[in-house]
Amino acid sequence: MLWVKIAWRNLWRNRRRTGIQLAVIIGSMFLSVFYINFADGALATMVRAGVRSGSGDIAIYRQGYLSDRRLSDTFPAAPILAGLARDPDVAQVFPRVRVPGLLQSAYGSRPAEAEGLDFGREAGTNPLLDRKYFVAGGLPHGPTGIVLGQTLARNLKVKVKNKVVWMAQDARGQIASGLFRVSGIIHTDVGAVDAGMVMAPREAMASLIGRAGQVHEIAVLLKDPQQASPALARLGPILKAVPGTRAYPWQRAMPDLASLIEISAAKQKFTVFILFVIVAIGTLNTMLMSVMERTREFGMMRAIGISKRAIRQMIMAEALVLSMVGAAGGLVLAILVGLRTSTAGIDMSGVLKGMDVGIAVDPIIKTGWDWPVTAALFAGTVVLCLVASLYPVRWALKIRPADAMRTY
Amino acid sequence: MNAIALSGVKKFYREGDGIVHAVDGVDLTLAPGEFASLAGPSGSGKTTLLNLIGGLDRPDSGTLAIDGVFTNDRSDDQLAELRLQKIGFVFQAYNLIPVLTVFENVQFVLQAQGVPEREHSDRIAPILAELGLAEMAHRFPTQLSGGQQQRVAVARAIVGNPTIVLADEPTANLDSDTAAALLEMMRRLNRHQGITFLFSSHDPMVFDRASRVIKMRDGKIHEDARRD
Ligand SMILES: Nc1ncnc2c1ncn2[C@@H]1O[C@H](COP(=O)(O)OP(=O)(O)O)[C@@H](O)[C@H]1O
Ligand SMILES: [Mg+2]
Repeated sequence: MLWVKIAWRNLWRNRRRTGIQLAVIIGSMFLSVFYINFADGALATMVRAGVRSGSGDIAIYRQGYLSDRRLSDTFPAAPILAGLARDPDVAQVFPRVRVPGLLQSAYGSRPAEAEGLDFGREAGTNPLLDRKYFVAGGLPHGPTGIVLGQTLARNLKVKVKNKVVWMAQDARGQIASGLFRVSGIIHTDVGAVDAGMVMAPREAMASLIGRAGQVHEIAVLLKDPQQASPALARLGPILKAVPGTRAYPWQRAMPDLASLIEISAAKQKFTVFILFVIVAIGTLNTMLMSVMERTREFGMMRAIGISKRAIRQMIMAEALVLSMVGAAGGLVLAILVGLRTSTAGIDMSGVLKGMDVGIAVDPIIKTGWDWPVTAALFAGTVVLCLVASLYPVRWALKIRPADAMRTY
Repeated sequence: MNAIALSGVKKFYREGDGIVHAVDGVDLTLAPGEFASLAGPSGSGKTTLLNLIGGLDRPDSGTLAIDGVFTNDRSDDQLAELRLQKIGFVFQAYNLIPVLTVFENVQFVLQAQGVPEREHSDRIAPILAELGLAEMAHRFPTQLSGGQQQRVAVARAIVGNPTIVLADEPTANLDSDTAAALLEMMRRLNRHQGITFLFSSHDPMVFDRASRVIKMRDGKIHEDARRD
């Protein structure tokens, strides 16, 4: 088709200008796609870590516990654990007890939150129990071994194997205490964990508050986290075994993490919007210059009777070719880079150093592949360039052949 | 039926405080197959008159008919269609599309007219041959001399089978040998294909070859000489 030929060759008439605009489109497409994929990977990593150390994909609590955190809001774990064990989509279940209290050493005492958990179940999945965070000792084996954060250990001047006393109110409001032994010390860079977290055997903590066999939370990890809604629906009958319990998606159980993800999504949209504005202005400018330079040419075309429609098509074909080539170039670049960053990952430890998102996250971020958004970005870039060419089209259609053709 | 019929055509331009009577009451008819030229000094209204005839501009008063069709009350789109189908234009400054080859520049009109692509070569080749451009079909305008470019412009003007070709100072940028050759070719097209030609010019060589010279001054026709 001659119109496309004209469009293509006109683009190369001013190589410099077209090259710059092409670079702008390639660059913004690349940045958009890479950024989306990076965020996709980073947020997925964060959610994964958050879900595994926190509420699970789905969390089960006694009604009201999420808002009030009452120590007495425990429930018997066994009937629900039995039900969950029969659900084929459940990968792991982590029953937990949460007890705020005071950790005492020979030197002094510090407030902390004790999490009673099953080390056997959670080791290998809960990132807080990852070997790499241990600066001393390891996982406890006996019923009195505990793991605590490095700052807390320093404050109390305790080392591995030292004895400590955990003191807390029990479920009836009485003071209770238990003797424990430091089994491991972790350093995660998460302030709340390092300075205020104690991980202890679940049964020991449950007994200490007078609720043996009971838990505050059951964190449920699914084989496919995308299937949270159907899984949630199926939990209903299982929860009937213990009246008063309820299941929540992680977004409800960890609203801070959920809003962090939402803010990131908003930032992404804003960044992409800015890039799109740059592309739109650049394309409008490029096309307008290209059209204005060809005033005589369009005047001639109008003079010999070329329809407005054909002229519109010619100019829009130019924008179409420009945007398609640019978007395709940016996409290819993003895929090439993504092939590497999705496997080898990007080491963000420099950036993350000293940044506390409240979750222990692996600083090697592997970028993801968000194909639906990538496709939308491609289509969006092309549509945007077409829209940006409408003003140059209008300009070209306003050319009056009698004026354009005059040679005084 | 006349190829061109004008009656009482006027066109004014506002210039500063005054008004320029660029075309000031022109009555003119051209029979099919004429090879006529407008003559007159610069500013006498030749270009304005050609633009009015070609429908590139609208008269302030008077009526115009092309090939029996009155153009006054036509919409811009209808005028464009009329130009595309019935009128060929040749401009002083050639005005070829620089990114298209000779062949493609001519093809451009057929494409716009909606002539099926498979017919393009058969329509274009004989015209390029007639105008001595066969060898240059795949060159770009910048690779041609002025005379060659103007021949391409003539090819473009006639490929769509127009009834009229309007040519505004077509030889003004050419040396005399080249101009003479171009005029010969147009004369041949006029004789063989019956296309009506109307030039504007101040080139005596054009007047020598024209079958009719229409002299203008101050927007009016003051002499109309036929030489048959
Ligand atoms: N667009 C315009 N605006 C103002 N004056 C114009 C315009 N076009 C033509 N004129 C004036 O109209 C007169 C006739 O011009 P033109 O038709 O170009 O004459 P010619 O082609 O014989 O040299 C001139 O005085 C010219 O300045
Ligand atoms: Mg003139």
